[in-house]
Amino acid sequence: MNFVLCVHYDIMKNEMINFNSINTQTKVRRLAYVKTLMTMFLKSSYYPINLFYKKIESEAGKQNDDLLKYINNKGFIEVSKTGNSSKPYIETFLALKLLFTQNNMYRISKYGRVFNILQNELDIKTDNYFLLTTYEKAFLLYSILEKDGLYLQLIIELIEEKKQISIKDTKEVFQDFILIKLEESMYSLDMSSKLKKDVLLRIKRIKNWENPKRYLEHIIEPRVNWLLDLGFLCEDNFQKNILVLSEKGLLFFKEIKTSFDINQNFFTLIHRVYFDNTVVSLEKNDFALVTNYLEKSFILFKTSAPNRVTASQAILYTCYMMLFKENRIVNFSTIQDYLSSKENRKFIYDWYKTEQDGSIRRKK
Amino acid sequence: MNYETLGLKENPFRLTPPLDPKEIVWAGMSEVKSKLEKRIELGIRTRPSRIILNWGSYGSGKTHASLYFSKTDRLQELTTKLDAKPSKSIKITLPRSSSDIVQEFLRSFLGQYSLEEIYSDFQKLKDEVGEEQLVLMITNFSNDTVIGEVFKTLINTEDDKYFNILKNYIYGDSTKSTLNSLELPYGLKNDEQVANFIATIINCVTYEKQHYSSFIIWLDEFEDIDTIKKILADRFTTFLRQFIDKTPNNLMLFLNFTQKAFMDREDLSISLGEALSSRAKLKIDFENPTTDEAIAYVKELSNIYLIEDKELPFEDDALIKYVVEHMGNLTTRKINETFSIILEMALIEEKEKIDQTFIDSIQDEIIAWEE
Repeated sequence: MNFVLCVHYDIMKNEMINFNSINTQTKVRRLAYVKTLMTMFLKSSYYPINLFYKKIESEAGKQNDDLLKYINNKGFIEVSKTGNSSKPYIETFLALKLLFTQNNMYRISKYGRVFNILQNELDIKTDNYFLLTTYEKAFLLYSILEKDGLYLQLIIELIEEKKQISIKDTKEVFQDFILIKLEESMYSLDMSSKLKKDVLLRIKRIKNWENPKRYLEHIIEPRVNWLLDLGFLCEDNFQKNILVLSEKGLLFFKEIKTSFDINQNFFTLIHRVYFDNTVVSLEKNDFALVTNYLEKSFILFKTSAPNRVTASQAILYTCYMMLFKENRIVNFSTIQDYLSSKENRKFIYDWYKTEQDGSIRRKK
Repeated sequence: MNYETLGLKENPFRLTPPLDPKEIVWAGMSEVKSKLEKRIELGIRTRPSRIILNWGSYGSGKTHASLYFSKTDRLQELTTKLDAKPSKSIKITLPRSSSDIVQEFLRSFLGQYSLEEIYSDFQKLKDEVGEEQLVLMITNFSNDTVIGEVFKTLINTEDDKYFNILKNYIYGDSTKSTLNSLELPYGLKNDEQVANFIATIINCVTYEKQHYSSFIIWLDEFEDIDTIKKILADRFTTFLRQFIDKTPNNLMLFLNFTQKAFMDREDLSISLGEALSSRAKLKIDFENPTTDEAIAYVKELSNIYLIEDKELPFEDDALIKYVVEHMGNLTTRKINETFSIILEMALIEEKEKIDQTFIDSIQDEIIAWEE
C-alpha cells in the first residue's frame, strides 16, 4: 500500500482534512524562528499586522550569531524596510495554525499557546538557538504533518527511494514523482468517490503548474531544510547539497509507511524516532497522572470562560508532558477514549466533529 | 387523549421558549438562579455598572434566564424585597442580519423598551425631579448637543404628530422635512450618537435610583459575534464599550455565551476585546446539572403542571434517575427534549403511568439515550 495515501486515506476515514499542503516561500528554511514568533506573544496578546513584521525582524536579529554557527545558515531574517524578510515566515506559521488574524491583528492560536506553555514547563535549551530540542522537533512535526503532510512525506519517500539525491535533482524529478504516486494511489486503494475527486483535482493542478522549476524551488527548499532541522537528514551530505536520510529519518519513514494516524500514533512515532527505550507505554495506573495534567491545564489555559478548557489544548499538553516529563507514551486518541469512558469520573467531555475540537469541564 | 390522563395540565417540558409570561417558570437549577439573583440584587443595591458573562453549553438555560428576569414578576419581587424602586430588564438578541449592526441594536432596544414607554417614563421623571433638574440631567448625560435637543424635545412633546416625527427621526429618518420640523441639524446615524442616545435614557431613568433602581440588558446569543463579518463585530464591540463607558451607573449588561469549539482559538473571550473583557469582572457558569439536580428539575417542573390531587406520571424517583443516567452529558434542553418525548409517547401508547418497561420499549425514540 502506498504510504502517502495510507496516511491521508486514514485521515479521510476520520472525515478530517485530506491532502494537506501549505504554500511556502523558498526563504522559510529555519524552523527555529517559530520560537521568535511565539515568544512575542508572551509580551503582548496581539500585534497589528504591519508592526509585527518589523518586530519579528528586529527580534530575529538577536539570533544571527547562532545562525552563522548552525549547520546551514540559509533562511536568515534581516531588518527590511517593508517587513518582507519576516513576512514569509509569519505566513507559514499562520498556515501551520500557530497564529491567526483577527481585526488586522496577529494573535497566537490555541496551538501556539500550547507551544509557549510547554516551552515554559519543559524548559529545555540547546547550545544553539537553531538546534531544536526534541520537544520543539516533536511539536513542529505535529503541526507540519497536520497541515503539510503531503509534500513532506513525498519528499522523504523520494529520498528514501533514491537513497541519495541532490537538491537540484529533487527539484527536477519531484513534479513527476508526485504525479506517479498520486496516480498509483488511485488504483491501489478502495477510495471513496469524494477522495478520488480530490486526488484527480490535485493531479490536474500539479500538471498545470506553469513554471514548475520556479514553483518547486518554493516547495523543495523549505521542506528539505525542515527535514534537516528535524534531524531526518545527514548533516555532512546536506552541506554538499546531497540529501540522505539519517538514522532518525529512516525511522520516521518506517513509521509513516505503516498505517499512521496522527491522533492514534503520533506520540508512539515520536518515541520510536527520537527516544531510546526508557520510555514505556501507558499503564492503567498511569491515568492518575493523565488526570493530574488535564487538571493542571485548567490553570495554564485559563480564559474568561469558567471551568472550561479547550479539549485539544488540554489533551496535547498532557500527551507532551506524559512523554517528556513522565516517560510515558500516551496518544491523543487514548486520552479522548479515556474521557469518553465510564472510568472518567472527574470531567465532562464534549467533542464537536466539525471543528475537530471540544471542551473539558470539571464535574461538580 | 390529552395530558390529563397523565395527571398533567400540559406537557411541562417545552422545546421552545414560551411567549406568555405566565408560562415562564423556573424549576430546579437553584444554584444558577441564586447566583443570578445575587448579582441582580448587587446591581439594585449599588451604583457601578457591570458586565456579567453568562457561560454555558447549548441548551443550558441562558436564554430562559433572560426571559425569566425580563418577562416575569421575579425581578420586581427582588426589588420589593430590597425596598428599592422597580428595575427594568430587556432581552436583546445579538444583531446579525443587518449591515448596520448598531442601528439594528438600537431598533431591538426600542422594540423592547418602546419610545412610548420611554416617553411615559420621562414624563414621570419630570414630575418626580422637576423639569429643570431633568433638563440638567439630559444636558449632562447626553454628551452631544443634538442628542440633548432630541430629549428636551421629547419631554415637552404633547402633540401626537410631533411625537411621530420625533419617532421617525430616532428610527433613522433624516429627511430635510423631518430635520426642519425638529430644528435639528442632522440625523441619528453615527454609532457614538446611538451610544449617547441609549446611555442618556438609562442614565436618566436610573438617576439616583429614583425611577428605576437598575437597568438590565441581556444580550443573547453573543457567541454569534464570531459568525458576523469581522469589521461589523469590531464595530459592535467598540459601540458596546462606548455605551458602557457612557453609562457608568446602574446598568447591568449580561452577555450570554454558548460555549463552542473554534478552529484557531480557545473560546470567545477574545471576541470581547480587551476593553470589554477588562470591564467584565463577573461571570456565571451555567453548569451542566448533576443527576440529583436533573431529578429535582424534572419533579419540580412536573409538579407545576400537576393537576390537583393527582400524582406524577413517573413511577418513582428511581425511574427518573434511570432516564437521567442514560442521557450522557446533561443540559436542561436535553432533559426537556427527553421527557417531552417520553410524555408524548405515553399519550400515543395510552399509558397512565410511566415505568421502566415502557421507557425500555421507547428507547429508540429518545435521541439523547445512551447505553
